[in-house]
Amino acid sequence: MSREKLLEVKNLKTHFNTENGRVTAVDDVSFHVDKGEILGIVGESGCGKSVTSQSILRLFDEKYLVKYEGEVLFKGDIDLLKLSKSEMRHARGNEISMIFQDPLSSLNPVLTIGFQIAEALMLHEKITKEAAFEQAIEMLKLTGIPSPEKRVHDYPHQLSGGMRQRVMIAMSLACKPRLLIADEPTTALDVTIQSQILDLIEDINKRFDMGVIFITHDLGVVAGLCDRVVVMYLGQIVEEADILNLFENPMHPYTKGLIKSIPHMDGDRKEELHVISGTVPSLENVPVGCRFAERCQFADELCQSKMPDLRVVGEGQKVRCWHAEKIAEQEEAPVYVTS
Amino acid sequence: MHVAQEQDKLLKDEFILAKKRLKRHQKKLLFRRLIRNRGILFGGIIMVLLTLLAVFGPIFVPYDPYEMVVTDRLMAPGAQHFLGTDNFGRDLLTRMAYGARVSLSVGLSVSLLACFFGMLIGLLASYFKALDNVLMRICDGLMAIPGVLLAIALVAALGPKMENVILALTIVFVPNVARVVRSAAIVIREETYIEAIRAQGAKTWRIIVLHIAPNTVAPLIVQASFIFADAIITEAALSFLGAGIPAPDPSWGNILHDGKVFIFNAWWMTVFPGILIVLSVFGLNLLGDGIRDYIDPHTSK
Amino acid sequence: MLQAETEKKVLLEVQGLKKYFPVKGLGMFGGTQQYVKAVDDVSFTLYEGETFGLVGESGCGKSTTGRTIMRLTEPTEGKAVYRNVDIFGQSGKQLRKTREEIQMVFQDPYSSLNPRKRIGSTLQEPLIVHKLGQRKDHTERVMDIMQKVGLQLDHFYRFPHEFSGGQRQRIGLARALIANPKLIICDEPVSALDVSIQSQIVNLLQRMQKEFNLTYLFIAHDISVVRHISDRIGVMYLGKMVETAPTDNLIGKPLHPYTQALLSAVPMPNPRIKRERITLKGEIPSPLNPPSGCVFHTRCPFVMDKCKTVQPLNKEVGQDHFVACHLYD
Repeated sequence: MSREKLLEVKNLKTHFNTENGRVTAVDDVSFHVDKGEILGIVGESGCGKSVTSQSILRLFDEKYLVKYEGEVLFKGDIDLLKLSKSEMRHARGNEISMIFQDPLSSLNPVLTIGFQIAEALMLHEKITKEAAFEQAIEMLKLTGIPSPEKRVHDYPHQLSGGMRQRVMIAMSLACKPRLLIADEPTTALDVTIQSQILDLIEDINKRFDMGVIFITHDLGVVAGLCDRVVVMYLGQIVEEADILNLFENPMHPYTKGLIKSIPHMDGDRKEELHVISGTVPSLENVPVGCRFAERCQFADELCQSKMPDLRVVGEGQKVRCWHAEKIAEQEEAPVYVTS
Repeated sequence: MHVAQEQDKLLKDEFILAKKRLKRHQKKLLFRRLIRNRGILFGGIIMVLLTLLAVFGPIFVPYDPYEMVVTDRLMAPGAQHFLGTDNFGRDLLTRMAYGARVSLSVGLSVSLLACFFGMLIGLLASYFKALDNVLMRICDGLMAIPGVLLAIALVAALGPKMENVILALTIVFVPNVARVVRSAAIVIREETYIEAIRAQGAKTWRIIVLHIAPNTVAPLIVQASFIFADAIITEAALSFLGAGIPAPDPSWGNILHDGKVFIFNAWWMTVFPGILIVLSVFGLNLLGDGIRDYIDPHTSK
Repeated sequence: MLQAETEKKVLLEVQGLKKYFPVKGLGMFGGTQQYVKAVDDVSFTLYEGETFGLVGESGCGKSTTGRTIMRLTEPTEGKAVYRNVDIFGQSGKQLRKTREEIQMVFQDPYSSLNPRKRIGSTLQEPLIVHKLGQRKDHTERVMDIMQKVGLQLDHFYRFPHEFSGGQRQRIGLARALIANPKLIICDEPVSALDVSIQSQIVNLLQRMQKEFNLTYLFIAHDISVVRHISDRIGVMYLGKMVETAPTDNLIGKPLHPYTQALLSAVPMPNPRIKRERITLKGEIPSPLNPPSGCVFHTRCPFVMDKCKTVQPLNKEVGQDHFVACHLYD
């Protein structure tokens, strides 16, 4: 079954101009999202996952701060990076919308939520204020907010964190976008609220056949929600796989390490947790060779000196590692590094 | 066992070396940043020159600041009197050099005293809720009265003497400092690291003096330089109004005062002390802004 | 870690702890005084050498419980008996002595270190405060502890901003360890850290526990981490302790409906398990106005009439397994 590609990112690079010179936060990233698919982007802080998503929508100040390279193809032929400012504005919200980690700071505190949703609608469609408010109530109902007729008149601070995230989702759905980018939408929420929001996102994805890019650091969330996953490390994609392969047959040592280092609910408690030694290097001095080499237990001279390419290793699986196959053979006897 | 000990020693030697290297490197960096800051550079140069004038000026000037020579009254700037003379025939340059001593020492002592007492009050108010209301209401009351007016009233009550001028100006400026320190200290008091040391069981005075106070120093230094400038202006204003440094002692303010009657026939009597006042205030403000940017690079852009 | 049942020694016993925060009423003259019941009648016991995990969602009072035991906020009511002495009745010198033995590790490694102090002097501070050892030996002791927690010696003269989050948490742990405490209250020590760093710190905590024979009160919202590190777990909801049990019992056979829902909501890193989630309706009620009867009755899937009026008591329903729910009357 070949599905329609909704968004295709090709060799995207995002450079930032900082006080200490140029920093490449996203380095040669390529991936795609199909229609109706949930793609997960996983990584730790500083891996470039958020920058990638914000680059797709071009949310950075392009005059001073940032320079993009590569292509971001939407619906096959529209290159978002080449659109003019007004075309881009039209695409944002209308075709692609985004929700953030902190719903409080992304809502205007002095306007009612009804007004803010209606405004999103009126920006992109020619409708009356009354009609927009009607639709706003509709949207709130869709996202599962109780008594939406009353809630439209509430201000953001009157809502709880979970409610605010629902409002954000309602707002982003207002114009029936084709693609939803969710940047850690549940990180600030409690687990019981998180599961409500995850259910909602899954429901929306199915109902509207909408593509979703879900960015998170939480592998547990990814496992329950996503169809396919991209793992990022220090600005690069290190592995791409469908969800079953990622957890059952991870090829990159970093992915393996991540999966092993989270405490499992059914794991052995007497065993120490697996550890990826060291810390993520700074973007200002990225290693010459494989970026994970200095933390990798399998690294050799080749890894230190030459950067591996992202290569296909199986059905829909790509990995950026010189020794992926060799490591997979050795894996029978797991080596635990302590420190 | 032995090997381990030796290794330990090696490690510790290495550690001491690292410390020395680090300190040297830090000093270099610090100096470079200091020089690169225009405000500190130019403000600093101006203030150094004025200080030199105040300290060494009186030694080198050839005249007595109090000696009146009636025949030399209101002489224009020239070869004999470089900046001219005043209405009593006293050399203006000489009087301004002595005046610099007075003005700068009033400014400096006021800013030091105000900072000391202001910090004390601010810290106490920030830490003890009961004191907070009392102290801050008193400060509010003092701040409600215009500074110059309050200073005049205080000097009038105490008598026009240099010590009294300093005392009066200190009272005027203490509330400003107390506010700055209090608001900074309240923010810091809520930080987790203060909580951490509180959880250690440190005594209250230790927390205030060693952990909170050093964190308020940065805004305080900035405030101190502005108060320095303000005190110079206010002292000049007081002296100009005749409520400051009493004649015949020279200060920039009372030279101006003497000159105002002769402004049309002896412009130098008002212009030169005026320039010095403006220059010192300008220099101090540059310095204060520079220090603020230096301490917190975020505000500079 | 798991000691023989017979020789469990009680280290700290918290009895009926209450912490109410007064809230200013509206209106000119204050109106009626209202209280946020952050912690409402919580009791639990810590045994020597064990780790007691305290879980719950934000606003459930777990952090306030820890902070009150440290006397960072004063309790409204209750007792905390540490080695046969009530901490809440102590003051001055005695309290300082207790604080030497009970230390705390904070959640945010960024704000819990004084940005203007070098690491060395931050770590010396507890030694000075508690007058431990001679001044000239302090550096030596600091260096020892730095090596133990995996810091390099040349970090001694660095400032906090030069460290990564994981390293800062190591510093926070070193500060807690340096005075040789018996009990460490860990308030969300790993929740601000990345996954790969989190496991480093969890392992370090466990290793230090073994080496120094420490007791931990481990407060966190991440249940999988708490499960990994704790011997027993207490679950809090809206200021109340709803269930306490040894870890395997609590995870394997949760009794309270809230515990069940909480566990089912934990995302599992296994794509084949599509666990039936017990999705709780609605939001956590405001602690300013907690529901009558059982505080959980507004969201409970098994709610009965009784729950709305009668407050359930904490009952022992199995070996060391306590639950406060009318289903088990």
